[in-house]
Amino acid sequence: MDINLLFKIAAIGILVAVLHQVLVRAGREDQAMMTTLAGLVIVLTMVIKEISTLFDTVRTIFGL
Amino acid sequence: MQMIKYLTLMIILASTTYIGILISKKYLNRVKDLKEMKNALNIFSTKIKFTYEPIPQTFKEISEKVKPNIANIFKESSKKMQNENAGKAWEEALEESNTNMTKEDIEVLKNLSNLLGKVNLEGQVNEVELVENFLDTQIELAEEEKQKYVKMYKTLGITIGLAVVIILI
Repeated sequence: MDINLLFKIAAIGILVAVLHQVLVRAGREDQAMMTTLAGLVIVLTMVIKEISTLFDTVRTIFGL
Repeated sequence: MQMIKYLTLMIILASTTYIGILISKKYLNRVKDLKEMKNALNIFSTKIKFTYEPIPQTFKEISEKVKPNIANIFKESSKKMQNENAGKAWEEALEESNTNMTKEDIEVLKNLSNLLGKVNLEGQVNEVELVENFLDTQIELAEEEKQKYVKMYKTLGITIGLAVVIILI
């Protein structure tokens, strides 16, 4: 696994937190919610490959 | 190759920041335009009170005194008044104008057309005052929006640019 992925996810997390704060201050709670969800989806698409390799490893270890 | 990649990322960041600034400028310019419009209406009511010039000429003179995008409205309506009545000319000029004012602001200004050139001096001055009062509330609203949104759009531009750059790296 690439360590860069972790840094990338951390940076996206920080930016989404900032966006959320800015939008809430401006009184746009629903859009703040949407950005948070969008950030979540983006991060999930980034890590989905890693998760699938994890499952594969587990499967090979136990011989399922 | 690496060079091109970083260059593109820089361009993306710069452009989203610029878009954010552009959107926030719209709110700043709306307040400016509304204040300028109020200024112009003040000049108009003073002029019709103390000089007895016809409205088209007064409008032309006003258009020489205020900032260009407001002046255009007065110039256009002064031109149109040669063919149709004053109220209609004013409405059409407002509709064709290209300013930063919102639809509501335009609607408020259109109220002026009801009596423009139809009633005596006192009635017109009163009408202008009424519209100015409406404009005042509109300016207040615009100021509120400005304080709310200008900072937000600037930050949004920068952060969204950063997010895109990080995702693409």
